[in-house]
Amino acid sequence: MTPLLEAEGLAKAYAGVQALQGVGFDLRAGEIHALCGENGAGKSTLIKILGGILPWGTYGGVIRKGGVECQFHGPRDALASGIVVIHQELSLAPSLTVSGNIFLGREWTHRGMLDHARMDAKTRELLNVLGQTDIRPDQCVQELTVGKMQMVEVARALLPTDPSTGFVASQNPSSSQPDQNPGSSGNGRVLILDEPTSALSSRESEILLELLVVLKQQGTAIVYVSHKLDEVFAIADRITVLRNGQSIETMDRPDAAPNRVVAQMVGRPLEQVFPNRTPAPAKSAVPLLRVRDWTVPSAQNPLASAITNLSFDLHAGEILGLAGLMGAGRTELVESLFGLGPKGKGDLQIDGVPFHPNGAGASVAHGLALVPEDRRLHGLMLEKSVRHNLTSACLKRFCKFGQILDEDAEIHQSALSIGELGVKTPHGEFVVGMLSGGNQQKVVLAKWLLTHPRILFLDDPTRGVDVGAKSEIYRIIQNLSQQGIGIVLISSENEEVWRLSHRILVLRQGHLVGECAPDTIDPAVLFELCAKGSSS
Amino acid sequence: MKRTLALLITIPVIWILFHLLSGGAVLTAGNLVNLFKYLTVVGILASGMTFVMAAGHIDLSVGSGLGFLGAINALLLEQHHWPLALALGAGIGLAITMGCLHGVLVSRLQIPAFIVTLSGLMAYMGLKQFFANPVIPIQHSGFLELGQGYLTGFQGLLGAGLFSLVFGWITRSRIQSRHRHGLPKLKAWIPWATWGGLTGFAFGLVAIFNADRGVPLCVLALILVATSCHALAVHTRFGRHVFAMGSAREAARYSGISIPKTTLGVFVLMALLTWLAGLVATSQLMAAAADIGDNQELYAIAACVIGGTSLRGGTGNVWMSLLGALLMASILNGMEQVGIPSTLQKVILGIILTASIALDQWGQRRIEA
Repeated sequence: MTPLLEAEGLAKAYAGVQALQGVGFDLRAGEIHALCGENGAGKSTLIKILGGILPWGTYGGVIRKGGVECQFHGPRDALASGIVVIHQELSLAPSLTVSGNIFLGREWTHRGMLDHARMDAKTRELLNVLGQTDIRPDQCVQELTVGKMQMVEVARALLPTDPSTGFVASQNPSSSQPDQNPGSSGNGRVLILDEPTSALSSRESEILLELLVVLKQQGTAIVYVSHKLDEVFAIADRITVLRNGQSIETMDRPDAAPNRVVAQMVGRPLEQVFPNRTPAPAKSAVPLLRVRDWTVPSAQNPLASAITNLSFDLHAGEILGLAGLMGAGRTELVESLFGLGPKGKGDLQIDGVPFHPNGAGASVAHGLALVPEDRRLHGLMLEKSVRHNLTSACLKRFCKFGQILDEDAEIHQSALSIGELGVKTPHGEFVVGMLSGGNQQKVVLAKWLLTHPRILFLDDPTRGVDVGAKSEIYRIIQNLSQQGIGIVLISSENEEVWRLSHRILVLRQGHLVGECAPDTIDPAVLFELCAKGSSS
Repeated sequence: MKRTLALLITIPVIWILFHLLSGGAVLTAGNLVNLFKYLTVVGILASGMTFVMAAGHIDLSVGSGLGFLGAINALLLEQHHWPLALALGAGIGLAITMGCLHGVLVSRLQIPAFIVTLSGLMAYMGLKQFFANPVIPIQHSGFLELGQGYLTGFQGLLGAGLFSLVFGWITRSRIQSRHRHGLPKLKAWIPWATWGGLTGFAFGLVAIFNADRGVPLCVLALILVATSCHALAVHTRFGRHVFAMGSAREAARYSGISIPKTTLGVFVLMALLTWLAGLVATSQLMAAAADIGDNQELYAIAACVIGGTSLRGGTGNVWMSLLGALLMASILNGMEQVGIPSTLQKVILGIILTASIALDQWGQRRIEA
């Protein structure tokens, strides 16, 4: 049987770096095919070629839809042949309505005027198919949650590019659109999703995954790209692993075990992602950081508080984990201690000396450092060089008379830091945005280590980082704690907090609801503790 | 790099082209002195505008601002008969106040710089027309020196020699500093070739100027301003902070860079350079008139854009902005010599501005593809 979509010998180089070299891939009608690989393995490039974002002629190799070679000159051509890509970053216009977004670029008109009534009706129909009855077509997209926005993206992908081919009509006989079999090869619809759940809560992710299975049963072929292996194993029929721009292996799901997939992704058997927990340090009489009755107003609503009457101690050499759900106030806690965001009230002491947070600059001077949650927005200047980023938090150290830069000292230090943390970059003058996620994160870590912190706040330090680099970052964290740095660790993965921390604080809705030693508690129990209703 | 080369080639080509078209009127020592004198006001503004735009802002008030500050200086000097130093000091104080006002409104009250400085444009325009109407003629000889004075031939050559010595010393200490930090050695001929090239250029320029009236003092001022601004941008913490802020504001804030202080610094710097440009402009005209500085903010912004400064912030180079200004001045001067009417000149300038950016975008797309 001819595959619905087929790629053969794809090759693409960016500025001399080979992103893809000889990638083969095939998608059968009515299957969910997962693409797995570390950051920089070439998944995004493959998607860009399939979706026509990289036009024909800028890459080597061929793609065929239903056995016929395709030469896409842009995303429109790909759309016209039924290939829809939903990108990782949402591509909605926030100030337009839901229906305005769904029909963006292909508005239905009546006598030259926008036909709002018909478009809204169609939007209603698409949203109903997705089970999103609570989204109104005339609602502004910016009023929706991220999860709902993702649903709007899916709805947009379901809209036929030509009003005469009623893709949704096949599931909705009441529609006035003529029927057409979307499953027939060559004509079938292909939906490509790139990390669609990265911004979704677990409940929202579940809904999306269920929806994808339904769409598959209705005949849509789906390419699913995700870091999250549990999602991949929940829905994929086949799994293709990419590594270093090459397709390594395609497996049927029953034959694939998570360990095997990870080993293929990393390129070596993965003995242990997590290092053994280091022994907890001895507690000193005066804690490194003492927090008492710390209250932080919420940024959205000044009357509510994000953190309420929180008290804890952090000792030198300790890794203190903060467990909690999204919105429990973990980020607000560390940012307020670091002097960013709404000002907190309460009593802080560093080494027994009172400390009043007032902007990041003052905190750095007191030996505090924060690796922020959002690397691309808060952590790095993506357009600037590795060197400029590395020294940005402690530029004064590289200045004579406090103002005149000593660039040679900077260049020297940036080479040292790159070596110390094993940042894979051609040289220190390389633009940071061109590095892989893991290496970007190492640059952020190195930047903050250059400030010689004694207290280090790590807010989700392995977010969007591939497995190999994660493992390296864990070891760096442990090394730092053994050098006597007090570390507060937040992670979107509870297992990470559980595996690395010496002590865990559980936060729920801005309140401290428990403290535990990880060796006495099961991770499942810990998760339950985070999630329990406020009734306890 | 590519853009630098393009500008360095385009400018002489324009000179030669118009030289031939005008029957030999462009490449004369006299015309080149006039061209560079004309360049100074926009050049000084563009030096500061590079900072403002690199910080991710814009300053529309500099044109009418320079007219206003120039008028105040002339008023104090000529009608109130203040001593020169006191009049200039008052001008500087007023400029700093204006810069602080812009900076505080932008960084503390979060009003977009476009709005703040557009309001400034209107307000200073009115003030300028109030104070400079009727025209205030300037007779103070010391004040007029800046716009009308020239270095003697010997002083010019001495200056070029001094530049060569200082730049040579800097080149040498840079090579030594790399060595001290154990960095891989650069090929030594590159910095020395740069030094040789710039020394040759300096002496060449002085020789051309000397063939006419000598090096104009205002051109000397422009060179000093541009050199200081370039050093401020590239070799100081303040400069690094400005570019960091323009490139990624939030990341800069999370790194402990004070956004309000840096923003304030940028607008004060711009206001001070506006004052200096006002001084040069009134001194060149020997009067403070109501239309001085009109539209100069647009030329300064255009110069920065032609020089490769992004309107989104984070990039920019003072010398490149100056080359942008020189390109525009050369085209205007050439058209003047050929006898194209000034109305048509403006149309052509508009077309050239967009065309230069279009060419650049086209070139970039070709590289990416």
